[in-house]
Amino acid sequence: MLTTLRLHQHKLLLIFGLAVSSLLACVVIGDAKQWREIDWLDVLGEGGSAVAIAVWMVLILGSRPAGRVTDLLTLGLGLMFLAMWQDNLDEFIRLPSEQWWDHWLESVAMPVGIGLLTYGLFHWHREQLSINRQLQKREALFREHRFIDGLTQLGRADYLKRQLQLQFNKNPQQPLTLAMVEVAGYRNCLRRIGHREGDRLLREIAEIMLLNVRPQDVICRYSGERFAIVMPSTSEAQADRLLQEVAAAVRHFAFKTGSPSVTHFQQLVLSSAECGQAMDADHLIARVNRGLQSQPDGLAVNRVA
Amino acid sequence: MSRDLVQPWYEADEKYLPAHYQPALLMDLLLARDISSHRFLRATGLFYDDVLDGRQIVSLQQLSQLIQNGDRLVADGDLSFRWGANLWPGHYGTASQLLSQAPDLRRALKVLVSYRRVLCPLLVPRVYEDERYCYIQWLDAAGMQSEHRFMVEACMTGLSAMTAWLSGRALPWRYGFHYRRPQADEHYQVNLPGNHFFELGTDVMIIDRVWLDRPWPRASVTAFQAAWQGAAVSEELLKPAFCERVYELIRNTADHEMSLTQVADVLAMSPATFKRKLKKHHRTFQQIQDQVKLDISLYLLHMRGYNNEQVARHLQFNDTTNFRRAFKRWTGLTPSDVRMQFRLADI
Repeated sequence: MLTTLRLHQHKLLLIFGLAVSSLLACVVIGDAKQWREIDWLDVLGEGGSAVAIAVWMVLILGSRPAGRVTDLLTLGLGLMFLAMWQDNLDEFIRLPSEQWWDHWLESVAMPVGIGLLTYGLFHWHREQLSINRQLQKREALFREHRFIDGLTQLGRADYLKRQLQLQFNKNPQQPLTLAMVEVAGYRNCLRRIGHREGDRLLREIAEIMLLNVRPQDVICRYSGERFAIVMPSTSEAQADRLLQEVAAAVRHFAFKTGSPSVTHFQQLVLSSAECGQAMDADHLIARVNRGLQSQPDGLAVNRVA
Repeated sequence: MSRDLVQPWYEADEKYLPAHYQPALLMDLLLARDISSHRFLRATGLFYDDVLDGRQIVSLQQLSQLIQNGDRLVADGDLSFRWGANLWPGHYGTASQLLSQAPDLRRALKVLVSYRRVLCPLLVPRVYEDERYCYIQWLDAAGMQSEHRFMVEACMTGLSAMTAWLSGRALPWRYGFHYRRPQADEHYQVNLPGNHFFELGTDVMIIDRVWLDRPWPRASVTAFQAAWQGAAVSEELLKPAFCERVYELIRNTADHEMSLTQVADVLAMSPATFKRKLKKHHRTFQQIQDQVKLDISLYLLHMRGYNNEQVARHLQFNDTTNFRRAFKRWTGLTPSDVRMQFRLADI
């Protein structure tokens, strides 16, 4: 978060700078109110809103790359924050009535800020739609960041279970095929290339598989070198052809390590099952896993070019 | 040096394990996850620069702390399996060389047991056979707490992965665990191929004896024998862990029953010192005593097909009810439930 915030330090400095200068101006020009004149409910409400808006602003800036949408969101929230801030200062300090700027800051900054925020949110929505298109093969029906695998950015096993359950509920009549694919001999390869290169290998294989499945398919990282592919509205026979294509793509992937570089070719071990009537996610996963374990051992030999 | 200064066992706070052995491997995995060294070294008393120097030695307590930190910092729950997959043969001097030259499972296990103080100091293997099976029981050597499960996962993955690598195929292990099946068991499916038995009461790997002497493709018997003779395992290395020593003492008596004072006597210390040492390892005498009896009754029930009366008689319980009650206290289940639930042996 801190590195992302650094991208926006000028915007943050500007807004908090303005907040501090309005505080200084009020202190210099105005007189402090009597203790009993202060309406504490107002202070709590307005002050609390100002703090909340400031937190939102930091969270948004901390999670977004620089860009037009970020600028709009920041400006919108920044102006709203300044308006709330000024409102709150008025509770403590009485300004002479000939001062026009504090009123202007309260009444004009708020609507302008809300306008900019709305405009920004509209563009954020458009941006999100285009990101969704990029993420489609990783998450078809729902998003949950806690279930994302840190290495491949695919969903993990718990994500897979929920995804399957949702697919069952959405289309109970349609056939659904779950496939498990494992990188054959990955363990042996790992001993030769080390875990960092091994991680890179898995990440790149995940990318290749993503490129070779259909838009409606979802890929998850089950565990280690085993991936799951959820294929909605697909019979096992159709799935078989698709899986062969994925396996062919991975087979032709020339993964290179070291210098002078050594090329490692990988094979996938495949297993799939069509979901029958009234089957739950756990049973389906267990069945496909069993299919994978009963594969002939010969496939588990890793080939190196 | 007088004799009584050299203890014939090792304890959890002894510093002897080079930090650039298994600890460094774990640190590497954590660094690859973008976790900074000051976070995973917190409360271990270690500094990453010293580890890089290659002169830092650590105690089992420090290793335990490192594991606890790592387990907390990595959310995926697969750190233990990743560590385990690369644990052995490893690069730990003679022990690793011997492991990688082992010509078959029997001799690989022999190396693992003899060099356990270097290879798997926290969780030590106890290997025994009967007519059909070979058992590798994993004993807590250092009095582990929350990191116990992590170490079981790592050591079992380690042995499974190493034997698959050296023998050229995955061996048909069966795995028993003392804890209940975790919510997310996918890492077990992928990293420990074979049958899993959770809440068994002990941590054990079982394999058919035929695999013990089946030759492994890459290794040479002659080269291994020569290296084994040349290595001349030292007394220092063969020392058991403190908890392991107590366990073995009790287990090897005829009736598996010893009093605290008797054990303290054999270990040549006062009962007070003995208790203090147990406390340092987060164990009570009763726990170790119970574990011995539980392990024996599990073996008799599952592998020998004994009924409750036979086990009770063997363990010298006054009657079957007492045994059933004790067993329930150890595992939470009655012996009959357990026999129904697990089919460890092929019939």
